[in-house]
Amino acid sequence: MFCTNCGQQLPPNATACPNCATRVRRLPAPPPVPNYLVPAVFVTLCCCLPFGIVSVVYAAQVNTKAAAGDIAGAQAASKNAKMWAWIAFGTGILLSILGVLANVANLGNR
Amino acid sequence: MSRTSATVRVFGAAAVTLAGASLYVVYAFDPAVGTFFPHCAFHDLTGLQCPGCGTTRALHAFLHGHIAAAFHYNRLLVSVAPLLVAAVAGEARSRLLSEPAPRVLRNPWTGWSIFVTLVLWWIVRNVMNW
Repeated sequence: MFCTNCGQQLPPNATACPNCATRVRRLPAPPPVPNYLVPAVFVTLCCCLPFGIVSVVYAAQVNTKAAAGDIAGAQAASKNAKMWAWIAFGTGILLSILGVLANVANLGNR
Repeated sequence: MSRTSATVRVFGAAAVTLAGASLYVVYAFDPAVGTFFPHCAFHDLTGLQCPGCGTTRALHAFLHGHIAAAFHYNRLLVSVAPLLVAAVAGEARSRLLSEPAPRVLRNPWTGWSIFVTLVLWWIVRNVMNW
């Protein structure tokens, strides 16, 4: 880590730069990568499509990669988990609306 | 209030309203007797049961207090229902407060256990005709 003011290399855990006395501002720890596990399970149980399972697999990968320190990999898996959850949700809603319309049409014909 | 949390609040309010309305419809009409409820697309296409088949019927039975009937429609769903409710509540809380998700949901074992459970349930319910 280097001083933001003068560029001096800082000793670990320094609170101020030994060269110019500028205070060292440490960035807060990055927030944990969202894993979308709950939405993934929800769409698997409620949208009845294989896409939900894909989302569960990516969601599980987020945790494994984050725990191994692979933050970039966890973020990529997180994106995929989110994307597949939305695909499952969108397709599920669309098919449900079509299904309801078909059923209502059938009820009307009876 | 940050932009993200405002978005989350709007989505949250919409989701709660929609969930309440859906619960009422599922309570008031019996999905088992062929009304307007949509079918499972996977079941329509393949003739097989998906892990979520029976969710609507189970919910209807549960809302009327018929736990055994609910279990019959989807054994996995009813067995893990308390865990599901706790997980959804924990996730919703962390999103509303912009806090990290509960520790158990971030544990690597949790995701893979859920995956294995879902796949086993998918296979078992079709083999056993549950």
